[in-house]
Amino acid sequence: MIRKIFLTEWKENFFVCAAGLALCLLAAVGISLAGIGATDALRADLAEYVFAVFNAFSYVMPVLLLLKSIFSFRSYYRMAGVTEEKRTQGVLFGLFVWTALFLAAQMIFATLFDFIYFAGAPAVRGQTSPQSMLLSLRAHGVHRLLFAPSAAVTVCLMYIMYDVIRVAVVRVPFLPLKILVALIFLALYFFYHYTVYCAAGITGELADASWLVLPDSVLPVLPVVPGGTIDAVKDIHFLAAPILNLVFLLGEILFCVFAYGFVHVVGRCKNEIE
Amino acid sequence: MREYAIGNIEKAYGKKGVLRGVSLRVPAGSFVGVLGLNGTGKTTLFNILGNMDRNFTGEVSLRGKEVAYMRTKLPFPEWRKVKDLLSFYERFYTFDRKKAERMLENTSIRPTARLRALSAGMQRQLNFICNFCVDAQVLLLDEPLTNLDLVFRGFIVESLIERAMEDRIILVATHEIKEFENLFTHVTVLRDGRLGPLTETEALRAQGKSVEDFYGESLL
Amino acid sequence: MDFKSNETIYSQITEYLKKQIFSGSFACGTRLPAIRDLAVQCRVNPNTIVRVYAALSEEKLIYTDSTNGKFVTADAAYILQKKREFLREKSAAFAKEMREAGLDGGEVTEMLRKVFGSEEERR
Repeated sequence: MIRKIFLTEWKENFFVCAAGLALCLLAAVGISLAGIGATDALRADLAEYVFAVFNAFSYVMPVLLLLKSIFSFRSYYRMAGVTEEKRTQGVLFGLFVWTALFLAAQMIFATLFDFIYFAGAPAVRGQTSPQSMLLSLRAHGVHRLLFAPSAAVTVCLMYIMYDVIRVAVVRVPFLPLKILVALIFLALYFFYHYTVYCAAGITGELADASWLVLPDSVLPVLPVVPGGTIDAVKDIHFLAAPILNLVFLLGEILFCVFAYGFVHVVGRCKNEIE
Repeated sequence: MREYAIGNIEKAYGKKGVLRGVSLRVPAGSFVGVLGLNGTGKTTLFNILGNMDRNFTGEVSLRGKEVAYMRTKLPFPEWRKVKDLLSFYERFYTFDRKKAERMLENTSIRPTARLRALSAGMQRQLNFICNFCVDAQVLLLDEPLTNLDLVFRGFIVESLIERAMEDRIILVATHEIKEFENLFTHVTVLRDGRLGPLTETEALRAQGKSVEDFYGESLL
Repeated sequence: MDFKSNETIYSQITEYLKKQIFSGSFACGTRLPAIRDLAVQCRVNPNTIVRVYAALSEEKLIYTDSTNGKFVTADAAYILQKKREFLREKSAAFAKEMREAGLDGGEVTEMLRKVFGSEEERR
């Protein structure tokens, strides 16, 4: 059933992701062309602009996909007899896959840009701020591709929370009460996740792990250092999740178990199809 | 082929009870007319029987993909293409795509057209064809003839006659008694949130009553 | 076909087919339309046609062969006999109605002669 839902929605998801990538590439080409024959300093600035566009989209697209997952018109699944549970699972799966795919593709393009733009001009690259090169695999190693599933996990967790709130709110009769219940759940969610992140962070610092999965740090409790990387810079991305951090994993699995149990006990609708 | 049993369906919007205990037992092979004034809850009932509304109490013996539901409007976004719709039906139901494509050839609907490019009548044609080609035990039709020209009305009636030869069950919610009068094996009237008893149309006529007479009387 | 809405469709179609058989429009051995085709033609539920054919079969006016096709019986004498029965029944019912209206046999036969006669003239 999850496969069927994925197949039904793949074209629209593909279109959205492709459009995002196309815009990034357009910006890259456009801005690059503007820098032909310019000084090194200016070229470095322009490179930062291009990376900034890429970085912006790495926030925008996952959020867009999340909003699309929440607000898309899907009553035809209900007509066809798909259970609400399966529908949610199908949407979640699609959200994960397309977010990860988009970000992976972005990182590949960012890396290509990194190579092409700075070809034969290492001085320019030297003047470009390392923080902007968040998505370049040249700067941070292939391991940074793990950022794709990590951000996908983040938006999926958000969707799961939306699902919990939706189920909680359905039973409540009055609108002001509905809003109150939703806010309470949201507050609990943020509090819980903040705690988990802090715990993950603390254990991570103790073991020299980082927020964003970097090749030269990260990993559960014992620091295992894979071979040669360039930067030791720790980057921050609000959608990144330390998915290789055991404390984080445990915390989130607990959350998912809670969500699953809650939804099943409260029930999505009074009379679901068997 | 199985009978279709509906037990004690209740549905309320706030304090207002729209359906107050709807029950029915439809034998296999029946063609049932569900009659009633506008706003009495026919569509609400059909939404429940057709999987759209799952917040109700009561039992329905056949649900999910055993039921094909032709609503008043196609529940797909306007930008979808006709062939995507066919793929959807193929994916989620037991669907005779070849037959649907053949039926579409006789209309002016091109498979590559988007839904928004189709007129209301053409959308209804597509709606009917898709649901007709689903291999489901129950076929629900909510006012299937509105917005359709004479030619396609005839086509729908003919198609339903063929379907009536199998042992499946067809339920039609309609005001257009004239067109379907001679096809109904049974009729029932939805009034005050309840369905009247399932009445055989030929039994009515044997008493010298027409279906219209029966309907008129039931509303008094 | 137009149907009266307060008489069973089944009896209306049965009567219609009988008339076709009696008048020879459906001659002996003629193949009757398939259930689906007749249902579509009349715009009625095919189950009604099934009943009609069953009734005509029972009256031995039609029979079913090995391919499930329905045919008018080849027994012309039998059809004639059934036709006479039909006339007798209709006449009895008609006579009863006329009597209720106070019309006697003489007036009635005179009128019938005129009606049939003018029909002959028109032909």
